[in-house]
Amino acid sequence: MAKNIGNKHYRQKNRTQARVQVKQTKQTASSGSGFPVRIAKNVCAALVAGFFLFKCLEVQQGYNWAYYSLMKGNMATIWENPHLTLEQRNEMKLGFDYAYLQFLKNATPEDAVILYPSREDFFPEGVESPFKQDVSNKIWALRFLYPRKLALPSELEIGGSQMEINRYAKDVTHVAIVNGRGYERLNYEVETPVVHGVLPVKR
Amino acid sequence: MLYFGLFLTIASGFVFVHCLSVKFTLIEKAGLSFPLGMAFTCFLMLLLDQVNIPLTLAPLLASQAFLLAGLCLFVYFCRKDAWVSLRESVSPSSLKDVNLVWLLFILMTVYVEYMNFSKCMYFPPSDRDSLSGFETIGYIASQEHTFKGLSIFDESYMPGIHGPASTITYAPLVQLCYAYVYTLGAETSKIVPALMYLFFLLAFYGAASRAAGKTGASVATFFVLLTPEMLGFSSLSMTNVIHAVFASLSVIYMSHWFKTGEKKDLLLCGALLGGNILCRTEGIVFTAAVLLLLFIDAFRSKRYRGFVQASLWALVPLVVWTLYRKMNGLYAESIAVTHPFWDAEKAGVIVSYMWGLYKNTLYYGWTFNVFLIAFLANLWFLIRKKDSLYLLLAIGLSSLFYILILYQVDYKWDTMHNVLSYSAKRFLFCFIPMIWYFSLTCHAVSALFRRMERFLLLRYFSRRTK
Repeated sequence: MAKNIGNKHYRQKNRTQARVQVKQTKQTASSGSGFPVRIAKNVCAALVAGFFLFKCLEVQQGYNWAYYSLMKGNMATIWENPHLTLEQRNEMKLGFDYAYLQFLKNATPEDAVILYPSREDFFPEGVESPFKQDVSNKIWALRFLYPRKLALPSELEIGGSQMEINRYAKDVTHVAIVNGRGYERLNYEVETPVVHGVLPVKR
Repeated sequence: MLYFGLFLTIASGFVFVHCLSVKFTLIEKAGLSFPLGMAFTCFLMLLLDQVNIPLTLAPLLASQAFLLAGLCLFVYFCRKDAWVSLRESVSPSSLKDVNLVWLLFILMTVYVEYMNFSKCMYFPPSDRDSLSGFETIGYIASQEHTFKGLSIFDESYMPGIHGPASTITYAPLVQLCYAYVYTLGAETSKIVPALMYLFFLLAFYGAASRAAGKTGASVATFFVLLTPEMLGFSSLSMTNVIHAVFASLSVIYMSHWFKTGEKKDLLLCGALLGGNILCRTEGIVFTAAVLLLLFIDAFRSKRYRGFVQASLWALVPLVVWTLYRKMNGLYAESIAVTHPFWDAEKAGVIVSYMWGLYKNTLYYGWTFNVFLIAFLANLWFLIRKKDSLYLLLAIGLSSLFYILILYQVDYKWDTMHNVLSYSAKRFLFCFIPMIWYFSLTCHAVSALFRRMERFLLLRYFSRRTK
């Protein structure tokens, strides 16, 4: 009985092998056409694939945006301005926000503690602000102002209770002015106020 | 020094994959080298920081050099056939079954990726989430030579740092990668996302071509690359695309393991899951889905060794990161509802938002449409032969876990609609490569591509079969 099963298995295996060989021979015959024919088949297939590809880039809105606007559009910008410095590229992306932070950085020493404007100062209600980014976020601003320390007005004192939240509150050396706001935090009068700037806390 | 550091990173990733097995193809090894090298570098930085060694140039490069030397010694003593297999994989015969369709898609992929890489390197980090998080943390860490002791993690300087969803608890891989390149003298951190995406495309192509041939792999790689929203985010400094690299590749290698049963794929899947969890905390959804499937398989076959090894690779980084956070007070107010509850309205809103995303061809191109067609075409093989069943289960389970996480979040730092409108679309990046991989490697489609490859073969088929 076991021998019979063994034989059956052997015959089955032989049949499978034979089928594979026949299949491979057929494939060899079909693929074994001359080189020019194979090249022609490839060129035709590549043309069809290329047509599908470019049609897909034209028709599908997402791919169209990704290829033509996102990739080619940005490459055009890069080719137009290949030699911009890092500062100029930063300004290109972040606009006035970056320019203001660069100004703060250049106008203050590295160990300065800056009283930094609040969100309300950057984006006053009903007034068009030149700031467009998340510049009022302390961590965001620190990327460009580090190692200077920042203290927000809300971190100084709460309701006159002298409870300091920020440990640098007592050591503020400069006050940042935006949209003409922040002068009230200085202990002296400014003769010619500016809209955006930075001033030492003591005259 | 930056190039030397990147060389050490890539080399250690490459040799690590070689340590797992010499049988991975050269493209797979090359593609995986940078993501895994960066994950190892991040892990080393955490350990150095924990023992108070400053994260300066010398300790960083020395620890990487030690790691590389150790991996090389392992290859020398334990992988005797390493050199032979490397020589075989770079021989010209590996290009024997290419055709013009393959060439067309490869050229298009190279062209689009060239533009993407240039764009990424040209524009400095500018997106809000990076500048108010990962990018700034990385930059300041490179200046202060520490991660746990960062001045911006000090509550007396940053009063809201322990508030809900604070950056202090963000998984550390991306921030530490940025700190690493800044320490090595990079002008911006953009080299990390740029290289990460470039190497990911190589790894995806390598993995896909092993499963479904070169032509299909080139087509799938091109469409993964061109996925509109993912392409846009790939050149930003955010974590989502980098997370997608680890998460998607880990699921893809899990699928390889279920198809071939080769242990190397299982171990690689575990290592990539480890990187995934160091990238974003929500990566736990992929770890949970994959480990659950591996456990079911191990339970059915009564062979637990591979499962335990993969679990160790996947979970050790999570344990180390959790301990590191506990020991150094890196905590924030919880944003999760930890008890089960039922809110039909909330669940309905989340499901409808997610459904809207799946249907959004502006964000994801034809990804989900192709998936649906491939799924229907393969239904017969799925039912009869369980073809790609585990891959589908992994995709389905991790999607379900994602929805559960969105449901369990207590939206007190931002509105649910904001999170679903602006963040949830990025969560789906992890699924894009998995879905293209399924669409390509399911029996119905891969058979079609193999038939096409035979039809377009430029060399005699008989030579190949000898």
